[in-house]
Amino acid sequence: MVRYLASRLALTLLTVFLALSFMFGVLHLAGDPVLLLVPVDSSAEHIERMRVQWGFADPLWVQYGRFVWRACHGDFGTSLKYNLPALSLVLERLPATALLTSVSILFAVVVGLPLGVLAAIREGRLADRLATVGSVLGQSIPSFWLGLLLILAFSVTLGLVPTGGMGTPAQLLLPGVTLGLYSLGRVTKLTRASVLEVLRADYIRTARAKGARETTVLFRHVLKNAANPIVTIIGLQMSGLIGGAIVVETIFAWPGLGRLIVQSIQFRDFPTALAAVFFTAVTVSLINLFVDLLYGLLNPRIVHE
Amino acid sequence: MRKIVFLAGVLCCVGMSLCGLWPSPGLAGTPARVVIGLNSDVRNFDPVNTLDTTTDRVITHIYEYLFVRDLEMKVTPLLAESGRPVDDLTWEIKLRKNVKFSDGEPFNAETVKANLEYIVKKENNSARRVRISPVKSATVVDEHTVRVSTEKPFPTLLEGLTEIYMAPTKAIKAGPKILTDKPIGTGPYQLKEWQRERTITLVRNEGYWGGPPRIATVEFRIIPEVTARVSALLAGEIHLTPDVPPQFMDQVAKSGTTNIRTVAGRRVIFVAFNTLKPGPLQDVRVRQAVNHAVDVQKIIRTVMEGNAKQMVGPLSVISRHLDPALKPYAADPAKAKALLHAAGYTGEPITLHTPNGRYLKDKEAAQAIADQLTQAGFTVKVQVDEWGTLLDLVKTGKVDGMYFFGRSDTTLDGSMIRDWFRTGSTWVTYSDAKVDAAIDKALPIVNPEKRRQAFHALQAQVQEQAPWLFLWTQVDVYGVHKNLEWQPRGDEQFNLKTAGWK
Amino acid sequence: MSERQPPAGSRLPGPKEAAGTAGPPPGARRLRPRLGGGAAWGIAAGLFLLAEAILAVGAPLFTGASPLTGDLEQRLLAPGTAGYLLGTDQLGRDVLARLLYGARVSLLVGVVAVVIAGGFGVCVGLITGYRGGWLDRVVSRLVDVQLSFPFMALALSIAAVLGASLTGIVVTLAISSWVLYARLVRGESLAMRQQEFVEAAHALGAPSWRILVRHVLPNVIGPAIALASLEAGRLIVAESSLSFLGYGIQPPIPAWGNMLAEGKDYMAKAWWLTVLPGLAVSLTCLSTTILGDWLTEVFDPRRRR
Repeated sequence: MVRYLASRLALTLLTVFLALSFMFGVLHLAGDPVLLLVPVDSSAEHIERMRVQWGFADPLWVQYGRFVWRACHGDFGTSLKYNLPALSLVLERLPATALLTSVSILFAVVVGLPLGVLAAIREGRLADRLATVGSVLGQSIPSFWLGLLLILAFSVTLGLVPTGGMGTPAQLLLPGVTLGLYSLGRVTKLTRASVLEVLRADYIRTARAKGARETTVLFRHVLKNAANPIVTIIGLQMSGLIGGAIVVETIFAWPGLGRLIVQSIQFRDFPTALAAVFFTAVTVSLINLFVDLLYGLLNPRIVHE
Repeated sequence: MRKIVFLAGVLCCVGMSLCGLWPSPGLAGTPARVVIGLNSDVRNFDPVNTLDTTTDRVITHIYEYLFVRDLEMKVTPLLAESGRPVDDLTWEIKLRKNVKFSDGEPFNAETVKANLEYIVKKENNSARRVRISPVKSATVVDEHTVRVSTEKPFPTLLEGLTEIYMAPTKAIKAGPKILTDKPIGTGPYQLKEWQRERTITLVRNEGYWGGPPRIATVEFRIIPEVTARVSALLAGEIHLTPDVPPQFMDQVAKSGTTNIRTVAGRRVIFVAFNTLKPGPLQDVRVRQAVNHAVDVQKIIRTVMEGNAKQMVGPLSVISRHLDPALKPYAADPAKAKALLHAAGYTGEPITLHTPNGRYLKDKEAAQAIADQLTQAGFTVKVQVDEWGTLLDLVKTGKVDGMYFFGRSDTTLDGSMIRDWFRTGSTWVTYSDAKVDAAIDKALPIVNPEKRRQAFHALQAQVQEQAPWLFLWTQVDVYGVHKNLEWQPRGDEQFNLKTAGWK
Repeated sequence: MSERQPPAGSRLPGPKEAAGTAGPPPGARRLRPRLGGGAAWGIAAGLFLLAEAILAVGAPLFTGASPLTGDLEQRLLAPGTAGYLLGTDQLGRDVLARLLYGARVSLLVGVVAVVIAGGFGVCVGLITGYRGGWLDRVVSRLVDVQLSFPFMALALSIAAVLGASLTGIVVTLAISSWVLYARLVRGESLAMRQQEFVEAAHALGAPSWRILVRHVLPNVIGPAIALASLEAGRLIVAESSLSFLGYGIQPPIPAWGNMLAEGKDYMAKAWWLTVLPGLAVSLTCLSTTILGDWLTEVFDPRRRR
């Protein structure tokens, strides 16, 4: 077990290192960052000086080496746009993103699980059809379109909830629902499929034949076995949502990591972009590791290679 | 069963950590409080090393200038009492007495000397240097008098000083970076809290030399998506927001709780031609043809929904050197065709670059312009560029064809023509020796009347040479709560010092 | 790719499999497959997509208006006024024409990106699964690295380098999504390698590529096509999200994504500019998802065994 963990952690480090290097390369390919960070009225001289000050005048391999060396010491440099430490900027945004992600997943699970179970039990009937169509719809609607429509409907026209920002629970409602809808669709579909699969299995029919009550059958056998893929999908969605919530964050003015990533790429704010990618890569890898461990725990029959 | 308990336990942990992550609620509402919606955050609170509109809009409430523009954009003293030229290379500035920084440090001639000399020193890389670059040094005459020496005649020193903040001497000597998130200024407000990308909260400086302002708390909220920002205004969550796009103006004007307030701004919008690369745009007749082919008034009326004022020459409509006698290019596609024919243009494609949302309706306007040009016989291709990419292309002179762009008329004085058209200025893709000579002659003239005449002539010359397709000066549109007593300014500043609730 | 896949032959669904497929369980005593639930919807979806394709390709036949130029004096007309069936946009262009010509671009982007991603991903999966060894490990590492990158951040970075052109967007989307095919196919390829008849053929001297093409490929092509269908919809939505952020296909070329992005500013005044392209994207994605789900069921590997 320990060896497995160690090897996974080593792999995580390698993954993160490769991801950072890739990002470094891409950012440099995308063009001169200095122009975006100095005022438009700057003289050519000022631009050159800033270029030297920020280290962009050095050859690429020097810049890369410097970056790697500093990153190993936990120093991701200073944000070129905000003039504050890049890593602290990223860490500042983390609670916001974590909150939104958690709420979206919670919404997806709390609504999706019962819906999926219901659809499976009532397979073929109206409830099933509606749930299926609903879940497919949830996966098809562009999130930003939905977000804008929701703002227009609930905030502006009906005045029920605030339009954006972060601070009160009410402000969490619209972005959480918008973001969670896609996950809701996946969770519903998956729950339905897993529950169906288990429902049709032989041992369930055996249990029923033995006279066990329907609810016992349901809870004891069905849900227990359906937990596996659900846990996985939650893990997948979580890692997808961290940094993938960009559009929703922009519309609802949610100060999260996704928006930071977009802005730092747009402004070629190298240190912040790299720090953000580092963070996301680490988080996603850790979530994957956690999900794998959880999966192993729930399924002792699986032996890790 | 165990697994269900396990799963439930995990969810409980998630739930508990959620509670820990719950952010604290914002400020409760008080009557003397104003909430302003911004579309982006400030860079930071360092007054010396930053220079961008959003940052300035916020930090002018914390720091102050020696001189400031009034509502008519005339230069008036603020931290100074007066300023006058002693000779061609020296100015004398008398300072206001009994002004203190928010940490108690007194404001005096030493402060001015420290600030000015820090900024003009090249090694310090101050972004503000460009505003007062001819300044060489400052000398303390007495506690409230400073003499500023310049390397060459600098008739617009006072205009330049309207963009130079005064920071505490201690901070300048220690390095202004300490002001990045802990600003210390002489202004009517102080920073209470900065939650990056969320809110900035300012509170009234009770010891302000001009008396405490009416509004006790100012909160800036960052709401980048314009629909959400306007919705917030209509819902009463914010009381003021700049940059209301034309399509929302009706709604804001008729809502019953808000109204629209506009002011002609100092941003000039144009399509610049790259004449440094070989191509049809190197011929002045082709450039004039572009100006005749485009019906600027129609585009203002339709795409901009009336929120722009056509530019006659290169200067903003609120520039004090604007020549009222100058007439714009007439929209005349037939004349454009004739000019093209005379220049021998045979339909080579010209690219029109445009940024994407950097300027109000830039993409739409560019497409409308391309349409009109095509009808007048041009072959035009529109290309939308990411802002960074476009800046790169313009700076290196590699941009092919023409590009939609904007500049700020910061001095509101004809000398901007040097920044925009003289060979060697950054971001300039045009070069003409005769124009250069005229600029060099006009710039050092100190006598105001002679200066005005020189700039009138210069404007006409530039207009005739058509290095730009002259478009418009933007009208700045603000959405405001109807009970807020406040007036918009042409320099995009909020100036909440004098604002209040009815 | 990661240790998440159970050893070949295990009857429990691996988490990734379970996440992606929704087929009937192996032990189920199934009756003849209902044509009601799955197939009818799937075929209907397929027909809808075909109709869209016909409308897109034959756009000039269905409308005489130009999607690129318009009359400034006729801007923002509501659907049904003055002979404009679906109204005009902010520059006076006919919305119906833009939707039809936009279908060309949006559908093309989706299809081409999927074909490139699928082609490349399937090849990589086939080869690495079959060969195994260090090649497999290296590629798996790369895949994990790419997966730990949030999709949007990856797409934005690539778009920043390649620029916002049609080719750029297609390449961006393709690069961001090839891994799913690789992972899907790799498992199958790996499993097939261990089959007796394959080992026998190998021993007899049959070249690997022929084994791959003749035996492995037919087994994987089905699920790959099902995945492609699901992905096509997702990529079309992704294109609209990229356009919303300013990186997608740029005007004046009409594409549903940039129509949505441009129209969102006019939501209160001219609802048709947002609702109509949004509907087009949603319905297309809905159809591809339904089609993909059905194809997944049809090509479920467990059915065939």
